[in-house]
Amino acid sequence: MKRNGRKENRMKKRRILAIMMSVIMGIGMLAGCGKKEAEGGLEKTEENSEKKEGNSKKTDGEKKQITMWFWGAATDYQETMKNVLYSWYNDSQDEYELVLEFRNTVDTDIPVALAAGNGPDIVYASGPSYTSKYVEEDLVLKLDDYAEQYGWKDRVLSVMYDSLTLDGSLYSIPGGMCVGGLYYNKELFKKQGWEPPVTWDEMMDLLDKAADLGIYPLGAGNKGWKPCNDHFSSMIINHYAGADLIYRVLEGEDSFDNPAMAEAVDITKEWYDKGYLSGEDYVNLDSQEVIQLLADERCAMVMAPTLYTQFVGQSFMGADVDNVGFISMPSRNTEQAVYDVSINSNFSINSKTEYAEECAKILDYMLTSDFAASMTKGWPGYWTTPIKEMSDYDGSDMSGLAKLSYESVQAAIKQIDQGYFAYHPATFFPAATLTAFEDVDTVWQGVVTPEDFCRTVAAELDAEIAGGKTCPLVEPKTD
Amino acid sequence: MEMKTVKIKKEKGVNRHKRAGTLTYHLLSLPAVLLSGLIILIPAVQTIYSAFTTWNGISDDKVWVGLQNFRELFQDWVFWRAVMNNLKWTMLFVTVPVMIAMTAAVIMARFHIGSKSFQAVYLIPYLLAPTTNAIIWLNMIFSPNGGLIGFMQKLGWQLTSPLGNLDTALIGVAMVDIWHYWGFLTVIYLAALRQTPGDQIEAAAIEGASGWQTFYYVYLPNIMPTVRLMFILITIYSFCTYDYIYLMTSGGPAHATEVLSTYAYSMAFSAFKFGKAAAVSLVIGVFGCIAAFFYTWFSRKEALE
Repeated sequence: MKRNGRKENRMKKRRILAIMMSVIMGIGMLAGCGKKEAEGGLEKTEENSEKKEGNSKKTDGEKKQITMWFWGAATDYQETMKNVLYSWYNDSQDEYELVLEFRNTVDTDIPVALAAGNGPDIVYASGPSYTSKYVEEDLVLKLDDYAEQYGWKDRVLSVMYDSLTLDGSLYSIPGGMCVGGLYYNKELFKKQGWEPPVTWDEMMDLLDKAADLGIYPLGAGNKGWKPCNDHFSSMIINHYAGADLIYRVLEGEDSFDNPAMAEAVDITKEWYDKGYLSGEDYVNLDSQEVIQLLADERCAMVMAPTLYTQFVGQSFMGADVDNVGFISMPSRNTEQAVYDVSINSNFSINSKTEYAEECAKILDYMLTSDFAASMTKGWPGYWTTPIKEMSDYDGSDMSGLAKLSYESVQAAIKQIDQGYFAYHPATFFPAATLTAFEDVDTVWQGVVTPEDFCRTVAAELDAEIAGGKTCPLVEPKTD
Repeated sequence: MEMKTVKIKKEKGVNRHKRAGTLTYHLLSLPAVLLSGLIILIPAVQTIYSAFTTWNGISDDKVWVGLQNFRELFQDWVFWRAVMNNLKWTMLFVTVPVMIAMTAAVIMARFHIGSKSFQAVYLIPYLLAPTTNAIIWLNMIFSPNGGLIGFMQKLGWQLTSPLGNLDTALIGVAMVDIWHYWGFLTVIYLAALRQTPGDQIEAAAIEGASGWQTFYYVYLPNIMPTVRLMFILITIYSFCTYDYIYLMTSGGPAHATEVLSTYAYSMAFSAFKFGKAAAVSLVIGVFGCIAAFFYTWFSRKEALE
């Protein structure tokens, strides 16, 4: 009996404890909600007070913050960006403060934040295909007035400027321009008695010689960044079939599903099958390792956009940097140097920002040779701003990687301005088409035929052209 | 009459007791129900709705397209490749790490020498972040530049990374995930094995049972509930797998390692087809529900037994 009584008491205590716990948890949750609401209220209050401050002048000595998100670059490069952009702007006045935030997941963070009505004041995008989504939803501002105020149209290369417009209006400015070409190791070329190729046939001959030597003809790889597929495939397509092929396809004059395109895609497969693109190690090499192969004389050349210059410094130490050369990729149909152009980033202004004027001022600075040169010195290869004044910029104070980066792009700008360029899919293909195009490795691996691949890409592109998702294009020269 | 009154009072007392018990259960389950409702149910309903729309992930407008997303998915060979890869992944995970972990756990349960230090070592991969594990394997093992494979190649061995080949890429990634996961499974099995009554093990020894017979007739029946539970959890986990595949191959080469979650991710964040991505997520959810159903069924069966 006594034992039963004790048992009952224990049960009772447990029940009471359980009820108390539930009540505490419930209250805790409610309190949590309440706190959140209170915090939300506080945020609103702060926001309101900030708005009030925004209308008046500085009242309490605190600067108004202009936010800008960027991808999670290496620490040294982050420092360069802070030293150049952040310092320039924050030292230029004392009412606002530019706050830079580096995020590894910036490409997914920004659309989510913008959709929720938040996000940074200056909106980064990894290409116009991202921005076009924001434009559709009025999440970024039209920049036409600022373009006129600052004369951006006359300053930016027209092929780049036009690619950032939709329905005749400008929505972003370019960050860095990448031009495709061939990196080569001068020391290796000297040892082998090779000359940098000028014609298509010379290039093919060199690739075969490198293969005979037992090294990779071209260093290439997509480890860690599958979209790299589009670099290599589009360069082969553009220089084999001619720069106008992708232009006509994007203009809707030809379908992507056409025999010339299928033939060019088939050539990319032929190169892959012959092991020109790092053989079976294609998926095991990232951009840095590809440059390391070049430094180790294990590949003859690297076919890539100038974005890769940022990796050169870690493999070619010190004076070895001078061993790296960069030339345009020879074309089959022209002797002119033709550069594949793309934008590695572009910047818009959040339609919800209260500081649009200030954001435009910052964007304008990013389109100056002072910014481009300062950034190139600290972060060679990435900040090659596509502005016309860079072609006349005196780069005598540049050395090493910065010099390589500056000289390669300076040569390219002259050619591009004359119409000798080709379109790179990463910038000029709309999102779904680009995703389909990046699947070109399905052709290389024999999973689908070039014709089937072209049909799939064509289906996406046709739908996106019909939806007005392509940008206006300048016709490239082909003679 | 008195007897009747006492009986009624007793019944009332029992009913009150029952009601109080039910109320306690309800109160106790309330936080979980609220959390599930807010964090799981609302997004789940939104995802289900989005699967029948063409939503770009940013816009407020979701255009209802009925079953179009599903029709397109079922006609896409990449989708079926992803489904097959998920099934292969599940098959690999319900066998290979289970066998490795079971063997290790039995050995440690029977022979205690060095088991503590061994336990510390095999748990290390599980404690490391997937990114770290992926970088270790990609750069220190599979890399032809500075990795083990590159080193072996220099010694004249004709070795290549499994990730570059369509036939071996999935196994290559699974191998890394298994390397990270088996230690955790071992801990679970070892904990279950240690619950086996000592008198049963002694009786088996007295009867002259071999090691295999002791495992099969004594240990295994005792740990069967744990084995079943882990089987279900591994199945659910396999259909949601994402991290190692995304980190190591992003679904390539040529979709050889594509699984439903990586397929949904690229559909959403590369092509901005969130509606279609939601449809893929729904398919993942269906597989998860099937596994969850079996889990519940097993649990109830065990409770009844």
